[in-house]
Amino acid sequence: MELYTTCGTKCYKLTADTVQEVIKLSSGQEKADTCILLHAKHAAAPHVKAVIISSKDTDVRILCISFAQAMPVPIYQRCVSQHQARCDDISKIAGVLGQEVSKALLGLHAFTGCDTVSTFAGIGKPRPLKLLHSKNEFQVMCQNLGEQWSITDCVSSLSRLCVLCTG
Amino acid sequence: MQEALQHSLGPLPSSWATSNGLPRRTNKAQAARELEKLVQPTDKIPSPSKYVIDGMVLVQKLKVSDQMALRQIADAALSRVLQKGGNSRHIDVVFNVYNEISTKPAERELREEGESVTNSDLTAGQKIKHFRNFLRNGQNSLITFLIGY
Repeated sequence: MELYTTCGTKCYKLTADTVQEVIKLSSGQEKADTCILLHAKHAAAPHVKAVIISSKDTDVRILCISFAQAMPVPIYQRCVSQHQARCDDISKIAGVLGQEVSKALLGLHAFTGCDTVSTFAGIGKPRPLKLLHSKNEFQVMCQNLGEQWSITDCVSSLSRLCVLCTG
Repeated sequence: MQEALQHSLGPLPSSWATSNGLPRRTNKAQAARELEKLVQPTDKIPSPSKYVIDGMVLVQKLKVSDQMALRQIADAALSRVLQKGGNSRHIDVVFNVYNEISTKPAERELREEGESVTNSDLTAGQKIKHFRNFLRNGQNSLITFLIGY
């Protein structure tokens, strides 16, 4: 039995007899959401058939879908709420969305509101998602959003997205 | 009236910020629900599989009474990890990193989480009163204790 656990920026591998620091799983990422992906990639060894992520967080779901293509094995997300447990095949969701939309999902999620970005009043998530599906322009723009410090190239497309969301 | 309408109502646009200047919150779960609709939930997961667990969610869900010592909390946490991991021989537990300079205190403020007791030198026999309050600011020391224990 191997248990890997993070403690601050470090990660330790615990077995019945030993505790060993795992340098390649050290991470300065503040939130577990992003660090979970690092651990999922590490866990996805060739003989493994699936990696199950236990988290009901929406950010984790979006991150997993966006990076599903980069994972060598299928990813599942297990959410347990007060009334039910549910397990979703994230790789399958990414497959249904298609590679372009999946990769663009992260940019769209950040722009339409998350923990650190305010949302536009009255605009939820479903309409921007539909627009992302239907317009290649928004897929390209949302994939680029966050790749560079400057967002100058994205501004006109973001403006059109806002107009269509409110209209 | 024409002149009055030339001035903004507040320092930030009301479409982006609340009247007290805080960011407007979104309903993130909406996005999760939309994406859930694309596939049916499954209970057929290929084996062997590995498990990655959000550590802080797990700790927050522990049923802890004021009478429990930290060693009992650590045992309960380990049992929960092994239970969640099921048949997996490889389990990762990932915690947040709590930095002093961070955007998270602002997020916690939005969630109306206030000040609480922090104790950096926890001992196995120590009892924590009001575990939920302690978790708000005592995560770093609690996680260090759990790993060490």
